[in-house]
Amino acid sequence: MEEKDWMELAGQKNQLAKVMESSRYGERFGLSLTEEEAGMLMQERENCLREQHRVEFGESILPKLMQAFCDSDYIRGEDYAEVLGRLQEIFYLFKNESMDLLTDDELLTFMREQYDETCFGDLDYLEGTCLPLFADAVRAGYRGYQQTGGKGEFEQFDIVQRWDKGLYLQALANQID
Amino acid sequence: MKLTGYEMEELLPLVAKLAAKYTSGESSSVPYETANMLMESICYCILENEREGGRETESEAGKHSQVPKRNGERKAGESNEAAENISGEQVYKPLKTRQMTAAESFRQGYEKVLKKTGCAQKAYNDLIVDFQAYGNENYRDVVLKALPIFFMKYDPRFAPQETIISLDYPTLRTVSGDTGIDAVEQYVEYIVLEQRFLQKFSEDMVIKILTRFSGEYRINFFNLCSVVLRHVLVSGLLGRQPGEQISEEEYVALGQICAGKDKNELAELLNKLTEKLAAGGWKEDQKVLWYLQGDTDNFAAELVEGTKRNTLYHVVS
Repeated sequence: MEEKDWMELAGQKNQLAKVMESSRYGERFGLSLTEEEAGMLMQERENCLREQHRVEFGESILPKLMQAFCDSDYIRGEDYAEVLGRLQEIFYLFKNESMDLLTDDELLTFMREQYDETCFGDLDYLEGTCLPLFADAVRAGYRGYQQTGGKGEFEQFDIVQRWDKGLYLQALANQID
Repeated sequence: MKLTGYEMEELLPLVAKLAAKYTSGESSSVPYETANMLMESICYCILENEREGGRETESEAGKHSQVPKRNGERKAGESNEAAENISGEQVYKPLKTRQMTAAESFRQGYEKVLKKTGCAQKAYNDLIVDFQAYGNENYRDVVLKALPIFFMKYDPRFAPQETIISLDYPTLRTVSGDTGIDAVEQYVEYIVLEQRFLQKFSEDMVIKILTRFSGEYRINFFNLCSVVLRHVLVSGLLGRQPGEQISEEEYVALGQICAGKDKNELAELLNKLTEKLAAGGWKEDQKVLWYLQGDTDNFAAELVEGTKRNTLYHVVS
């Protein structure tokens, strides 16, 4: 059996049942998946793993992704499956980009925090700005995330001056004056 | 990747378990390179177990004896599988009435890898106590610098197949296509055997012989043992004491001894001389004899050529 063949065989476990069971996390937030959507996500998972040259032997990352993102204000029921698909793709990409130095939980924590607080639900911004900056730092030797678990990490790498409380109050004061 | 006799369906769960250990359960996926490395690790351990005559567990097996075969003797029902160890002895491979599971074979193989690593480390520690490189930088660097790096970095659990270092110093017998601890264990053993031979002579004498062979022997990449051995064997052929430079008259006499003999006849002659040498110096240490005879064929071929071309002074110093 060729090298690639056995690796693809490894990733082909049927995890549909597990994904459907995990989709219940989102039900109280109005998020759910049909069996068809879950099936598509599984297919996309295989495609992503192949593209990123990764092998998943055990459980897929999807259940954890669903758990991590199900209560985000920036995911709506009608695009839940699509968002999950993108998040899955981004996740595998940045496992590679961070050279597997980030654990699944550290990466998911970072992704969730930035998706809400910096990207306001913009997946392109998450993939194109936040994550590359963070992955760059990790590759360069930064290990602070091991203490924080991925929380509150982005600020120190952010290249954009964001909302500044002092500046805001100054502007407010000026306006009042 | 060397193949085992097991189906992929049996191996995949083992790789999955190993991957979970490798990532400490903190990553659901690994890159292809890592997956491949782990699969190779599994295969390496299974093949290690099969090579060393892995036994079925007591609960699975009947009674199997471990008596070495002699002269084709076989017990009833025994398979005709024989392996040879490096001294050419026949080693009994027990008959498997039922195939061991991949998991069990892997487990046993892994234990064997660990044991082998421990033994090789011990053999190495004993070797370096009075190791002599005779000024050859390559010999010194491989034994005193590279081998410790191997023992420091070798990962018997996740990458037992990796040799890590390049075994640049050429030994009289080539390390077979093995990798990982199998290669290094063999290599260390060969160095031990060489040192056993070389240290029978004074350091002075060895250095003189090497210097006559090549003024730059300290920076060259060749096997020191073969140079000294050839000098000693030729001294035996000429009936002289080893150590002093071979004179022109002696080269002529050597040419006369070799003339008319083909490579095989010369090789046989050299083998007999080596046996005598081993009997005298190493109390019939079969391993030293076996190792030294690794050069016989090449030496015989070079003597034939050297005699034809009148260039024996290039062949032996």
